[in-house]
Amino acid sequence: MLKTKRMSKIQVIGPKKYLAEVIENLHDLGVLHVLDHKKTDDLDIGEPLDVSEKISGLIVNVRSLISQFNLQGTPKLKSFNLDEIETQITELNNKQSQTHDKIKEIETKTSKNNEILNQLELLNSLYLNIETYKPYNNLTYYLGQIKERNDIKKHLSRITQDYKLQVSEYNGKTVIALFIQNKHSEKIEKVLKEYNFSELQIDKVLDLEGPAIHHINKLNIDLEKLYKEKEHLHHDLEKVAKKHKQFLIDVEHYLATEAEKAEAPLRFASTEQVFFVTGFVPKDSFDKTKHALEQATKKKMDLQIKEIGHHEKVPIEFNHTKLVQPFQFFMELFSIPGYREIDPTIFLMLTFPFFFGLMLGDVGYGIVCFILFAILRFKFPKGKQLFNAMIWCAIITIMFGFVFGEFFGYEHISVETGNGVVEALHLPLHVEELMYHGEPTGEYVYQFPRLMNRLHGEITILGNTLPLILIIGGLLGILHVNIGLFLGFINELNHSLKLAILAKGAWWILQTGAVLLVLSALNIITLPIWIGGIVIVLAAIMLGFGEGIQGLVEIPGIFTNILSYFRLGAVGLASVGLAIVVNENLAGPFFEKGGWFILIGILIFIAGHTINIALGVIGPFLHSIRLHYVEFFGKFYKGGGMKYIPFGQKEQ
Amino acid sequence: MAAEAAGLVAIGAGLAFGLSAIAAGIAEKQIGAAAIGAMAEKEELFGKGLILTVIPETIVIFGLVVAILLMGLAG
Repeated sequence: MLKTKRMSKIQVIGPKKYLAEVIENLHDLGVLHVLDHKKTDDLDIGEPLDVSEKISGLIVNVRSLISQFNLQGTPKLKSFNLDEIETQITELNNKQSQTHDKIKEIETKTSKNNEILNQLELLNSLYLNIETYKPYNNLTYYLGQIKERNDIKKHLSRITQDYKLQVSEYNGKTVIALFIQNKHSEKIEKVLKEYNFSELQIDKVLDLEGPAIHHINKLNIDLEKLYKEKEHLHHDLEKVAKKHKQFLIDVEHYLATEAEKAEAPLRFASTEQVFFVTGFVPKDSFDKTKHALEQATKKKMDLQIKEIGHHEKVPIEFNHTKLVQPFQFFMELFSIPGYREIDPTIFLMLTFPFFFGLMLGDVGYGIVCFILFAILRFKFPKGKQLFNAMIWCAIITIMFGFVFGEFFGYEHISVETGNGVVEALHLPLHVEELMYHGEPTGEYVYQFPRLMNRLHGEITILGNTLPLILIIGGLLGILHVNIGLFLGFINELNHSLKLAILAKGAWWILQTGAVLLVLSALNIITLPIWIGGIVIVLAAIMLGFGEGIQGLVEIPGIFTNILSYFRLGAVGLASVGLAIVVNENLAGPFFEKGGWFILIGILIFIAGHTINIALGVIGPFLHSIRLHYVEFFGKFYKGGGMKYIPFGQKEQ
Repeated sequence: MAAEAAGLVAIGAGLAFGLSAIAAGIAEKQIGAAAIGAMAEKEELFGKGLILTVIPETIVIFGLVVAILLMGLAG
């Protein structure tokens, strides 16, 4: 529980003859974290299995089909025959590319026809037969669009009376067809230029004859046919995609797995005759692995347990019960532990929800959070771990809500409002007179039962009245930081007792010194002040030896770290404060007015508490996690572990 | 006189909290910007970025604690 899963480093040496079987078995077992072999002068890496090339080729084809058909889905685990896959995939590929080519062809035709159609429609708008536009010997014609039609005839007749002009509207533009004798063409062009004439092409239709409208009708029928044909082909493709969807997805998954196996030798060391696999297996899976490999190779292999080097990185697999598992999420978010240090996940499981609940601490808010996280947990299975942890936090929040006697920020309920409910449900609430700054107000309320009042609970220390919740936060801080130091002490024991005492034990001496100093300064104990001072100096010297300059610099740090736990009280006070503002200052006045105002009051109440719950989840979450990451982990945690990724691990 | 003293204490508490909140804001601004930048390069840094960003939050907490203590001491 306190350490990650213990690993054995193993090396398998076997003849290449059995390589495929060994890979197959290792993949099925899914327990070996393979250490990739780096090519050296003596020992090369292996070559991929023979099937590798075929698989790679197929996988490219399958993936291209999947992306062409735009398929998505979850693969089922299935076995296939590579040759069968090849025939099917080739067939599918051919069909797909043929259909695709046909569609392309139709698209080219359609776009060509559309071009012709456009030109025909232009001619149709001018009411002249197509053959009119054939080249003439002594006539020139101008076909195109102009800016405006005003006075164009007047301008033309100034040059010649002998012309033919057709004007019309086409696609919202003014188009003209002007026929004129060749000899006038220069002057006419000048006039046209003033009208911003721009020529329109009719090159695609010049070989046709008769009125344009005949051709238009025919063409439209043709186009309609093409569209239908195209739609039909698309439909065909969709049908094929639908039919083979699961097959393709399964095959892709199968091939990806096979490719991983086929390329595995690239991660192994190899000579001409033998291969070497080095890696880590969890200690409890060692026998299983050994047995499977012996069977696969008919005992013609050598399996050795290698010694793990002192500073060697070992893959990390958490070793927790279902209860603690959700909190692994927070470890992965930060940094997973090293192999030789304590895995603090279980401490997170104990203190994270506790801190969260202490800060939020409200029955109503806790219930809302519980429902919210329970819904999210089912809606987003990917975040299951996080939401499971948050459900714990919500439960602890409800518990602290009872400790503080708070329900949506209310600490009591007035006798008039609560009478019916309290009597109907036989709630064990007792009536009390409300006090304000120690003075009775004459107002009677049902007080919620509680162990302590968070907002008004006070404690007198040395004649100073202080909020109790802050002091509780500080005390928890001292406890939490010292647990951290203790864990650090144990971690350092792995190296040596001397280092543990110098680097971690010194912090306790430092704290003792500080306490002595303060107590003697306040004359609570009769001891000269300098004794405390000497203890502190002694601790500082030890830290200097144990942790070096860094330790010395951090000496004030331990006190700010403890002070930092005041947030456990302060964040909570802010949260209650906001809730009370919503209840008494925002929604309250509307409730008192009665009538329709109650509705407005309810709206304000819901909006206000929604905001406060949102803040109340984000705030305590961040503060609680930060207290762990910064203050707590800072005392012992190094992290930076390497995740355990076994060969052949099933996707989650 | 007593009312004036109480008022001054309240102003002091407000300053303690407000100024420390501004200070935390300034500190978090730069860390947050850098964290977002780092996350754009490498998404896994979200966790660390978030933690680094809330580190100056302690300043506000201290401000809040001082404010509460001031109010409490003035009673």
